Amino acid sequence: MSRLSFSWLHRSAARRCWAGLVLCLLLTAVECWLRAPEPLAPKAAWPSGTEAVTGPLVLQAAGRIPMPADAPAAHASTLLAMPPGHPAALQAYWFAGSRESGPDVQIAASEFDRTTQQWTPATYVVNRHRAAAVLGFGLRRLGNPVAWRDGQGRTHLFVVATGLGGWAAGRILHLRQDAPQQAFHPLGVLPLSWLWNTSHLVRAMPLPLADGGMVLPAYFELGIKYPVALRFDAAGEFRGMMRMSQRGDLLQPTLLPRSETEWVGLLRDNRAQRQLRAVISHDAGRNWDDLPDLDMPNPDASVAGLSLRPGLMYLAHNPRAESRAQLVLSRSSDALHWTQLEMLAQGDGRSEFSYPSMAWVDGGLWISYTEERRGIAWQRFMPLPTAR
Amino acid sequence: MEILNILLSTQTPLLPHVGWVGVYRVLGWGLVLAGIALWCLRRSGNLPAWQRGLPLLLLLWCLWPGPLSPAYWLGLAFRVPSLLLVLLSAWFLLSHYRPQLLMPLPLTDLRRWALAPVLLGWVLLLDAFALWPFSLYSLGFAPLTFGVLVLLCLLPWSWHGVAQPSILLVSVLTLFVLLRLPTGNVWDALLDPWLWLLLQADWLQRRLRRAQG
Repeated sequence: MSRLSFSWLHRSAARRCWAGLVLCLLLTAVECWLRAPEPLAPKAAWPSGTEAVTGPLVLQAAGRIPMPADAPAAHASTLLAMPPGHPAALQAYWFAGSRESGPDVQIAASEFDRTTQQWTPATYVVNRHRAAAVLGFGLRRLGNPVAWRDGQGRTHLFVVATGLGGWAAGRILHLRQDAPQQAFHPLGVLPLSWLWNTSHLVRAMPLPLADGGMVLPAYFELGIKYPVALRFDAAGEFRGMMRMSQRGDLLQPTLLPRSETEWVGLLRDNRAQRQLRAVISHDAGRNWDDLPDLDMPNPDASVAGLSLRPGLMYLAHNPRAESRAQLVLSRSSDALHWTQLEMLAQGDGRSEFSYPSMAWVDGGLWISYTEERRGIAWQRFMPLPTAR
Repeated sequence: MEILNILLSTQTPLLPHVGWVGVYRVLGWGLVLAGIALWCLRRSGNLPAWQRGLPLLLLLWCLWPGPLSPAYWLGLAFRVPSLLLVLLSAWFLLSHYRPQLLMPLPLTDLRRWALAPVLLGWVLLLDAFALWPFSLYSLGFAPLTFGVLVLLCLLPWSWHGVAQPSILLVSVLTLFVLLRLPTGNVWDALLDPWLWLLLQADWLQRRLRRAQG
């Protein structure tokens, strides 16, 4: 480096300190000026058209979502409600291939057509080689898609993409589809950790916010397991992260708002006790407190929660600690005390019905889940009309 | 009060454009690999003419698109190097190939301040495993953290009159402000796990040499 010629400045310590302070203020001012304005305080939003839900829900339809050809394995579906007027009522995304964490696994998608009342044939929407070609670096495996529509009607996908190491060393790849029928293009990997950005994963649906943004529940999984909440604005821009627990054995959070600012997170338990765990925020996700165990068995498996309005929440979960052979639907008014409503699926001890997802679409509750790791099943519940 | 909120906010991170990150990744890993190659070659003595071009070849290899490039696989495993590691590599290479432009890396001055990034790396590593009650990495998105780091990086010059380390570090932070590289988080610009390991290995090596007399 060329030798400095500012000897008049360099010689005096006081001058150097003042010059340093001025430089610091200048750079910090540029740093502040370049940034987006502070987002509004987050407030939870609920699906519309849920006011009429007062009675029980009854099963109206069920089936399997078509699988892509030559994909014997499927897992981790997520549902995305589409707006009224869209040809599809909802879209489903999941990962499919020869086996979980297989090199041929891709993210598959299908949508439920409003006219034909059928699921469209599945197509692959994210391929690791094509995404890597755009990003300029390799992706070893893909999995756990989570979908969301932003304030401009664009669909975002958050996908676990692994690098060096196994599944626990995954990163969250953010992709966006700007218009229907267009391809999802990768926007990058979310910056969530200093340690080569490893081991942050997604699984559960986002919590929609009144400003058009959302909070995406995610978790760290390398050794210690802890949940984090990632905030996005209405344009789908990353707006920071917040750790949700001081414990080290919680993963795969699902978020349930009890009011605009009071949110409960339900989590998968990685301890031997196998209980559903809970955390709570009273200030819209700025601070989180751990809650006592809910006394609800959970076989170290993902759950899906959906809040239809304050005081009415549904949870799809595995109720037995020893296996994923049963999947049930429960209802709660406070997200902490649950009443079992329906047996969604059950089999013998080796069966697996797991990783549910839920969406409220056209006045009905849709649930999808993994069926025996071979396919994605779905069910639609409608509220019974109340007697006049 | 509003200024304080702006300075403390971690809710307004500005991430780099994906295209910039792509260019930075190949160039950054290219410079780092070329720097490592030159360092290894210089340790083995005087460089024959044909060896002088090896680091440059490594740099060009990284620029090759797709899986044939080392940057593709280094990106898979380690994402991107920090701005500081890239600038150190660039300085080392330029001072070797163009000594009339740049003086050699002031290793003695840099080593005097190496304890700070070593400690910072430990703190960030423990933070990745949530062993602190708050998220330190998240604070890397706050303008106040950036401002404090500028002040700290100016300490070698303003306090001790040693300019080169401060020029290097403030260059890193200036590039970060303008380009947001490598991730939009200031910790990633200043230090990456490889640089942190390198600093510790260098410290250990010097201690061993000193012990051996």
